[in-house]
Amino acid sequence: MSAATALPRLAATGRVTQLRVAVSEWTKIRSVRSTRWSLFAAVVLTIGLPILFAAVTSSHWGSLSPRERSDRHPVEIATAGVNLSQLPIAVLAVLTITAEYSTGLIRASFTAVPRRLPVLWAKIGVFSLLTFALVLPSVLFAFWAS
Amino acid sequence: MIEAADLTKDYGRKRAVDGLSFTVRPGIVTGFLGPNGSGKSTTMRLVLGLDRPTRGDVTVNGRHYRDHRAPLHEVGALLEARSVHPGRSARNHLLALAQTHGIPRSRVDELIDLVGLHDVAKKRAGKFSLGMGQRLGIATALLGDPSTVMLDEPVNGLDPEGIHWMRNLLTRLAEEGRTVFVSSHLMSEMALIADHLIVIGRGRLIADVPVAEFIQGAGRNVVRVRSPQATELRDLLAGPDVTVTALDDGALEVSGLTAEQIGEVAGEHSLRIHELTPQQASLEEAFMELTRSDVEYQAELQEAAL
Repeated sequence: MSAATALPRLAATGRVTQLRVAVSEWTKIRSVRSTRWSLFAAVVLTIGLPILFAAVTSSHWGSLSPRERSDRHPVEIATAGVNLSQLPIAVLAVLTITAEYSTGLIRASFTAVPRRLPVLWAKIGVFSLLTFALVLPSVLFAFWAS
Repeated sequence: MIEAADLTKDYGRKRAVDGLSFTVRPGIVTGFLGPNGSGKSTTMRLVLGLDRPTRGDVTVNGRHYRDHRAPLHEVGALLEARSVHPGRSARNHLLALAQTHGIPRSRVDELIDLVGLHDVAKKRAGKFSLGMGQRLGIATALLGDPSTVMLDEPVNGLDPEGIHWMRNLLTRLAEEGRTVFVSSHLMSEMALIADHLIVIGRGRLIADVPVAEFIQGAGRNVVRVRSPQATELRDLLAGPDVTVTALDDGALEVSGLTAEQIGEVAGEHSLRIHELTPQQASLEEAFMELTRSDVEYQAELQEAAL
């Protein structure tokens, strides 16, 4: 620790606002590994499975009967990964709240924002936007690729 | 300024804080002293609104903590339990908290330097030692340049250099006119840091006194003398640095002389002595004496519970 013990003053003091809490939650969610891993898994599943299904379907296409062919719906194939990719996303969603409690971070969070609800709204908002922003292009890409 | 009035908190059937009323004033360091389990941490949680009091009230700078628009500017708190995500870096942890108040990044870096975490700011906080975690907690507390600083056992886990640094910091913060409220279960630590003491045991207020008074009243080095010729002895002992007080039971309490010196004086003048007892209560003992009946985990109690 430095010898100087003077606490530098803070020039301006700002209030807690919903937007600021959201920015804070964005910092929180992007600064842990679990976010990267689970979203990576979600994107890989969303894109990978349809490509795999599509490849399998097209390699058998010649041997399929007309009835079986009409059964293979392109949208179904393209969204085949979504069912599974929901899992890592749900895990991440649970973690964004439970990790705060299990690590005790919640004490710091509610000390900064004692009115609590803004933290919940911010978490919901940031998480929804983030997953939407990642999964929607993934689905579109999956559709195009398959 | 922290004001508590009849503050009470029950956890189930257990009363953790019992009718506490006190005021923590700005400009001085106020020590919050009590044995482990006496309700210090619970009281601090109540101040921050992390728990709701069963009865009574506590305000910070005139308002309930949760009614402040910019709470980090009002109170900076270090709680005993860790409040950090182990997977997040120290810098990102501070940044996330700073952003709730629109506090700039430069402030975060400033505080990381202040507490000496510069080299590890980007490391995951889970890898931190106890002392490093404590420094991060202090940085968190000071982030918003708060007018009230409340620290729960701040010297825990600090090395001697860190403890010295902490003492200077607390004194400095008080000199700047801030309210400084520091808990500890170590009397010796408080004697060095605090100007005023709030002592609790089993959730109840035991003492609310200036440290100087506490030391004077409890930690004195006196000799108790009983003699049938007390008046003569008293005159003989009188001197510039000597005070002699007559006690209710007829004994004398002498400070400024050792038992040996008093014995010599009495012997030279052939005065009879019935009792000559040095009473050297240390601060630690005084504290123990004061809180003994209130220590939560006494052996008898445990036996009774079995």
